[in-house]
Amino acid sequence: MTAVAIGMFDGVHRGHRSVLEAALATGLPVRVLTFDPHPRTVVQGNLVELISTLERRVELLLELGAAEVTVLPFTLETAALEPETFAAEQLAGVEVVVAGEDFRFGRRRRGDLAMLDGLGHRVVRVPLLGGVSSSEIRRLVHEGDLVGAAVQLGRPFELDGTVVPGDQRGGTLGYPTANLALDPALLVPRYGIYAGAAREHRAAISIGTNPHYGGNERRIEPYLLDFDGDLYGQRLVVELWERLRDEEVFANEPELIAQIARDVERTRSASRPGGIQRG
Amino acid sequence: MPPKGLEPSGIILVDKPAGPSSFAIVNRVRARTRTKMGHGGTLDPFATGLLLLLSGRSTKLAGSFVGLPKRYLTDVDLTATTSTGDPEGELAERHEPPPESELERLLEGLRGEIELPIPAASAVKIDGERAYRLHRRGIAVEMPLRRSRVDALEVIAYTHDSVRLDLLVSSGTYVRAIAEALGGHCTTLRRTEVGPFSVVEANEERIIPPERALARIGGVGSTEPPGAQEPASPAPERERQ
Repeated sequence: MTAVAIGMFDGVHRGHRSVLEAALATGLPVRVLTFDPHPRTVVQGNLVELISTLERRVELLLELGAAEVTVLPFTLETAALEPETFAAEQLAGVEVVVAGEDFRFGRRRRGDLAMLDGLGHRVVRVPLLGGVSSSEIRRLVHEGDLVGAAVQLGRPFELDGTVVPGDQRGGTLGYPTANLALDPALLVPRYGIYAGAAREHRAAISIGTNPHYGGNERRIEPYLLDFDGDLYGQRLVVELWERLRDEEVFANEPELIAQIARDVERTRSASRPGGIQRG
Repeated sequence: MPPKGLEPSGIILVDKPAGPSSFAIVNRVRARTRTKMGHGGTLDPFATGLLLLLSGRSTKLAGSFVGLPKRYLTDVDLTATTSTGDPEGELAERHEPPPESELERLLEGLRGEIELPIPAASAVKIDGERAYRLHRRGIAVEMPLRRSRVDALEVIAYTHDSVRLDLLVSSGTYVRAIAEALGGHCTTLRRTEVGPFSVVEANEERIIPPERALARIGGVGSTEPPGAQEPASPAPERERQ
């Protein structure tokens, strides 16, 4: 017998955590029912920039205490289901359903928690946390306000990608960076230089086109401090703690290197927002 | 006349055969009792043994029964790991079984308070697919560690290639994670006890009244001392291997 917490849970922010905590408070093992891709992407055809990858979403939900995560592929057929049909297919036999009070499902978003209550489920309606929302987090990250985003998330914003071969330029400057490839559906902050961490190492992260070198392709390049290892082909989750500065064009390379050295020093003294220090 | 679906209320002990899912068993019993039906923790299709079903009004008591310690009997193939830690996964790696002294050392490290990774296949499902198939879709989830308590972990039988274990573990412990920690995978898994309830008492025809079931786990609302015997049952011998 389980409690099912249902929702998109993109970013697993503080509001999502309160839903999960309400589910855990029933004393039952908690199964999370979530969707992929984002229903708005499917229904409206607009790209919704995801705060977290699906992998990271699942990891965070399990870390918070979910016993099981079920990911339902969201398609136009899913969206067209009458809510009663969806409930019968996905929630049959589920005693307790927990969701945020604004949870809607099924065709024309007609289904809600009151309907599930009427269908015989015990419903735990979790009030929204004032001011905390995925869209507000997206806005803050777009602006480069990573501290504000971390307050909403309850942890730092992260970039989750794979390390691929890059321009090999950082190494020649004395700061070898990893070139992080991301799923194009993911939210990326405003271009600039950030302090953060990856693999328990502090990291200075450059996000943008490297204008000093006249680049025009977006690159995400973390430099892991005091790290000596090969990351090629590996998954890397990078926490972004604080925005340090805009991207710049320098008069010459020594000036660029001097600025990187200052960025690295500021990275050493940066503090992790939104939660307890880990790395 | 009580509201429909709430009576009979109580606990039903079922010995699940290998094959059907726990939900298939719940549905089958529900079809007979015509009540709401919950459970005190599922078993994977390949596993057998004790399922605790909660009928009617007693589904509300699930919180008291899901956290009970569990006892299992499992055969571990020490010569290969699988993607799921059980026979349903794909062969991951074949290797020489550990020598007996090494096995003893590994077992000793698994007793007491331990941390084990949650088997991904248990925890993550995409559209009903078990997680091991998700690697093909580029999804690799890093499984967090779960704290478990292993109160007993005894060798019942041992050949060079396999070992049969009798385990008493805290609720939420994945036996497959223990098999994986030994470098093998479970070929059989049987749940012999859930808290004070033993699989030898399993009888789908009998409903244990909720107050009696709660008394046996020393739960809230008990009117009998904890551990009181269930008089309606034919005084079962507790399974001891």
